[in-house]
Formats: sequence, structure tokens, C-alpha cells
Amino acid sequence: MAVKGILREGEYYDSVTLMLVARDVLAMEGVDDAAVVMGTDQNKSILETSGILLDMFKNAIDSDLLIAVKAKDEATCDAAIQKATELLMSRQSKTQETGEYMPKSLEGAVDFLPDANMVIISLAGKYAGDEAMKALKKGLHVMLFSDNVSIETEIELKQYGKEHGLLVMGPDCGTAIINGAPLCFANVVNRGDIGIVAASGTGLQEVSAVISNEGVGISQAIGTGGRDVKKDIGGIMFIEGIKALEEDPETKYIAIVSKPPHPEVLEKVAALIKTEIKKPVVAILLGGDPKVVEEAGAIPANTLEEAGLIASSFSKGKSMDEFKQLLEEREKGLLNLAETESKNKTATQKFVRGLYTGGTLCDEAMLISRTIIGEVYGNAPLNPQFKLEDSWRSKENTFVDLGEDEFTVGRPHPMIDFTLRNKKILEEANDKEVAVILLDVVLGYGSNMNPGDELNPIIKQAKKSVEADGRNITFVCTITGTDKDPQGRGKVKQQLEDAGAIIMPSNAAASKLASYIVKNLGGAR
Amino acid sequence: MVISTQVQIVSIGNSVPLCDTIFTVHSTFERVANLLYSGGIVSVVTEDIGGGPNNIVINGFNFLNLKEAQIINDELILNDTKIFLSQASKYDSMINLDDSKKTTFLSGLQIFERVLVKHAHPLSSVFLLDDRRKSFFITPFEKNLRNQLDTGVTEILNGKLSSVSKLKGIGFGFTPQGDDLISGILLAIYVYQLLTNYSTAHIREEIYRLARSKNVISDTFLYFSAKGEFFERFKNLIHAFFQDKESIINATMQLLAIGETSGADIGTGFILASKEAFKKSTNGGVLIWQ
Repeated sequence: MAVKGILREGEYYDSVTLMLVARDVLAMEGVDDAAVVMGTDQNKSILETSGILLDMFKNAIDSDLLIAVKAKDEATCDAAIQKATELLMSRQSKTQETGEYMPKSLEGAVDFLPDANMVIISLAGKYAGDEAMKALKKGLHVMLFSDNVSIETEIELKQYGKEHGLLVMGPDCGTAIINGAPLCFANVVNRGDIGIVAASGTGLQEVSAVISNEGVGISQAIGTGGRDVKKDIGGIMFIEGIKALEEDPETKYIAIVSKPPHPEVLEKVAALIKTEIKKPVVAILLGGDPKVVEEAGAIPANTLEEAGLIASSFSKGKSMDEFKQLLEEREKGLLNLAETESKNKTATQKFVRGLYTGGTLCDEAMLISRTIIGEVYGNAPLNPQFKLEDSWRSKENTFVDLGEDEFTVGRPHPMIDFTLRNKKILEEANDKEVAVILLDVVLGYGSNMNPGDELNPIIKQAKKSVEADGRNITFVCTITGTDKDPQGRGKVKQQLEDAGAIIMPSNAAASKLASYIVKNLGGAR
Repeated sequence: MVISTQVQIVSIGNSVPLCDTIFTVHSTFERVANLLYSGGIVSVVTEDIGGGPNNIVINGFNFLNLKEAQIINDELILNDTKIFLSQASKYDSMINLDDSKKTTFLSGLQIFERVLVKHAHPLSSVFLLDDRRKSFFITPFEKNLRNQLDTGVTEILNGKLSSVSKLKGIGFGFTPQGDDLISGILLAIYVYQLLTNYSTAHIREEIYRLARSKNVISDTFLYFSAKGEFFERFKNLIHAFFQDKESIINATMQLLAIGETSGADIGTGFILASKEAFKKSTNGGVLIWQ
């Protein structure tokens, strides 16, 4: 066991900020106790009683901020202190006197808004389960943004929800659209008659954006959290979500979105579709075998875009042949464009680097690329043999999911904060073997509000930096979102095009283009 | 130098110095800037924060940019913005109560306590009013802190004034919870004096002396509490006791909106001390601080 700490002079934060920072640190594995307090004599006395008073604190004065951590070893202490420091910096708004009362507890919130029927919970995982259960017992639907909730807790919550007709979206559910309201990371889309159940956040976003951009709309988009379709959870909320859409009078068509569910879950979903669901169902199970759901009567899609287009065809009352023809023609266009882009590369340039903020989009890109250029390396690759030894160092064709833990501990998600990705863009551009950089840009509430402003100069800088070598890098971007999003899809598209990027109408199209260029350059495996 | 028409002065507390004074900026927040001078602290605040004995209430100024402050020739100068002090109304921090109001006060106090227990932040010291809230304190440090607050308050309310030293400076935050509890206790003892005609000046002085803090913000607040000078939200709360239930609820919510737990902690100290003082005097027992 180790005890370490730091002293910061003259820093002021409100009590709850300090308590919550201490709690967030305490939630780290290996941390036994944590305190973030002012250096008053009494606080030092309590630190001493708690066994976490350090020598350096003994002469601290009232205006000094003390951060003390007790953990299993020194390395854990250091990581915990680092996290506390970063959290405090991110809460630099400090003490605020508010003009209006803001509820401080679930009970207070329920009193304040007695007509509310849903609660969104974003707490450290250790505490989120309890609050979620409290909310369910008050008859509220729950969206659980928190991750690090145990499997046992998730099962308990979802069983309770199922028995009482309540939705439990999550844990680790960051996206939903309920009665037209985008929740957490979600896009502003048209309202319409297509309902979505998704065990994938950016999968939900891509499908709902495609649908909206086709001129039709979403009735409800229910997120379940990615773990829901695994064996342990058994698809509880995925199934309840499908049933809810079947009963929802606003929903006429259902789209289900997921990475491949566990086979037992897939069987249950298929059985449900076959026996109880009358409305047309489109299924995109990224990388999974569509036969099971097809035999149950659902229409399988090969990509997220296709799922959106199929559902849109239903809603418009059009045949699927129309969009299939459009996709075929587009395919020719992609091949021609890839041909053009391959011509302006040097002999060493032959690989693609995908830098993704959305996990599902990264997975889809890898699945598509695999069919054209073979397996790609990554930090979360499809084939474990292609796992990067060092997630920070790409090789050959590499697709990186920047939303994975190694990139997000102690920093905001890359969908919000582009700093890390901007840095990686410049690094990858400097690699003489790189021909294409593939980027996703996810719009909507919760995401970076100025993606065009941030990416435009970086793309320009990256392109310029390689000019001296006679190299030209192709930037291919996909923008998940709509013109109704606060960032405005059209505006962002224009800004990226001004920087010289090629914008594709979907992640599937972008992945294909990037892969065709690499194939032309001899970079396929 | 800019004479601003956009920045408007609303009120000046009765303890704000009006003579020429040069301040040092101690700390700035979105709605408050604390200014240090030889006599203590003056706080420049927005209207939604409200008046106080040492508050200057102004609208239209960005406190986060404040670098310099002074009063010269009846003008408050913040950076290069001049504001005429003579335009401001005076905030009176005293309250008027007498012994005819005791029963109504105690009824209002009950409503105040109920609303506070229901709506205060889980990590405030309101666990002292409702044991069920103790479970919100989870980490070993938090539990030790909670126990210390509990012990300190219990001992003070049993007449052991020296236990003020157990409370002072304890807790998280810019103004520690212990200091806020003591402020609430001091205000309660003052109100007790108004409602019973029993002089408590010596008790308040003693408590303040024991509670004096190196945290100049806390110390100033304790000082005014000891003198029976109320900031506007608390004054409104006391007045609400003599209006109706709705007014008490609204005023309590306003109090709870102060900081994250400060308002709740002050309220807790006030309720505990008021209940104890009136309980003992009603039963004919020795007044706790005699």
C-alpha cells in the first residue's frame, strides 16, 4: 500500500467538485482512499485519522489544496493524482453561485420535474447502478450513460425494467432518440415512422442520419448499450426494444443495429421477429451471418448505410431496386475516383491510416476494407493477430479506434476533443508509406461543436507538410450527421472540402474509396 | 477611464467602506469577486446573489476579468470602469424580530427543516438533521469527516463551546462546511436573542473568537454572522417564516442555490442551534450557552 499526494497553492473549488473528484479517483482500480480538501488544520487532522496525511501537508495553510491518495502501489497513486489534477482542470468553472435552485439528488429532481418519465444517469460506474435502480423503482425509464457497471448489476436493472415495462438503455449507452428528442450523443433528425433498436452508438447515429438525409425520419431510436447482445445479458433490452417499437403507433418500420450478437441472443431475436413482429424489419449485424434473421423474415443489410437506405425505401413506399441501382452506379464512381487519386502518389505511398472516433464506424470500415485489401492492423482489430503492439504506432494499413480506453483515460472522448486526433493526423502524414488518411466526423449534440474549424487547418497543414517530398495525401472523410445538427452537415462538408478532403456520403463509401486507392497502389495484403 | 452606463450598481452593504480604499483582488468567479483590504473583504456580486453586509451588488460587469479595484471619491473603479456609489441603495443587513413572533418563527423553522432535508445536496451536512443521509458518505475520509462534523456540532449544542475548534476549517470547498455550520449556529443564537430578549452577545463573541479562520472569506462571514448581520437570501428566508408555506419553500430553494452545499450547511447549523436553544428554554432547563 502506498500513500502519495500533492499540494497546490491558492486554488479554489466548491465542495462538491472536490468531493466528486475524490470519488472519481476512488473509483479507479487499486485506490483505497482519496481526499481533495483545503489545508485547514481540521482537515489535516482528518487526513491523519484516515492515514493519508503526508509530511508535505503539515505546513499547509487554509488556502492550499491538498490531494491525497492511498492505493495499492506508487504507480497507482501517481495515476490517481494525475487523474485528480486533470479532473480539477476540467472543472475550472470553480464555485458558482447560481440564480436558481438546481436539484441535488434524484428525489429533488423528481420533485422539481414531477412529469418527467426518464432519467439520464452519468455517474462513476460504481454508483450508477444504485441510482438507476432508484429511478426504476420510481417508475422512470433509465438511460445509463455510465460505463464500468458490473454485469450482475446490468442484469438486475434490465430484469427489473423488463418486469415493470421500463426501458433500461445502457450501461455505456451514449445515444438515443426518444419522441424526437436527441439524448446525449445524438443527431437532430427528421421525425418519421422508422424505429431503431441499436446495441451500437455510432451505428445508431449513422443509420438515423442516413434515414433523415433521405428525407424520411425516426420515430424512436432505442440504445441498449453494447453488452446487451452478449451472452451474459442475453439481449434483454434489445428484445424489449423491438417489442416496444412493434407496439408504438408512430413506428411502421423497424431497423435493428448491432455488432454480431451472441448466437443464443441472435436465435431469440430471430424467434421474436418470426412470431411476434408484424412490422417490416431491417437488420444490420455488422460482420455477422445474416441468414438467421433473414430466415426469420427480416431484410439483412450489408452496411449501416444500406440499412438506412432499405428502411427509407420502405418508408417512401419505394422498391429497394432504386437505391441498389444508385449504389451500383456510385461503385463505378468510387473506382474511377480511386484511379485518379492513385496517380498522384509516390512509389513509397501505399497504405491507409484510419483514425476513428466512433467504434462501430471503425469496425464497419475494417470489415469493408477486409474484403478489398485484406486484414488491417489496429488497436481493436477484427483479427487478434493484427493487434498493434503499440496502439500509438501504426503500421501498414491501420485503423485506430481513438475512443478506446488507452486513448481516453483522463481526457475527453475524441468525438468532443480533437487534440489527440489532430496530432495523429500530422504524425501519420509524415509517414512516407501513407497514401490515404481516413477520418470520421460525427456531428450532433455532445460532439465537437466546431469540427470544420478544427480539421480544416490540420488537413491543410498535413498536406502542405508533405509537399516538399513530392507526396500527396488523400484525405477521405465521412460525416455522420444532418444539416439540422448544431454543427450543420453542409457547413462542415464545405469546410473540409475547402481543405482538400474528399467527403463521402457514408462511412461505407468512404471505407471503400480508401481501400480501392490502397489496392491500386499495391498496398493490399 | 470609462464611466459605464452598462454597469449598474444596485446596492451597497452597510459594512462596505465608503472612504478611499485600494483593494487587492482575492478571487473571482462568474458572479462574485472578492476584494481584500485592510478591514477584511468586500464582495462584488451580481443581483441574483443579492445583498449582504459587505456586498456591493452590480450588474453588467464581467468579474472574471477583474484585475484592479478601488474606491475613490465616492466612485467604485473596477479595472477602468467607474461606477457611482451614490446611485446605489443601502442594503440593511439587520432583521427586526421580537418576542411576539416566537411561535410563528418556530412553525416556519419546521417547514424550513422539512424542505432542507428533502432538497439539500446529499453530501451536505444535512445528515445532521436526517440520519438516513449518513450513507451518502462513502470513502474512509468522508466518513471520518462526517463523524467529526457530527461530534463537533453535538458537543457545541451541549454547551461545550471549545468544540468549535473541532468544526472550524473542516470539510471540502472554498468555505469549509464546518465554518458554514458555525455561521448558521451564530445566526440562530442572534435570532434567539431577538425572540427572547436574552442577550447572547458574549456567547457569539466567544464562538467567533474560537472559530476565527485564516480563510479570510470564511472569517468575514463568521464575523458578520456573529454580529447578527444577514445576507439577503437568509434574511428573505427569515421573513418568509412570517408569510406562508410557499414563501418558505421558495426562500429555502434560494438558500440551497448558494454554492453547492454552503446554503444547506448554514441552514443546518441554524436549525440545529435554534431547536436546541428553544427546547432547553421551554423545558426550563439551563440555556445551552449560559
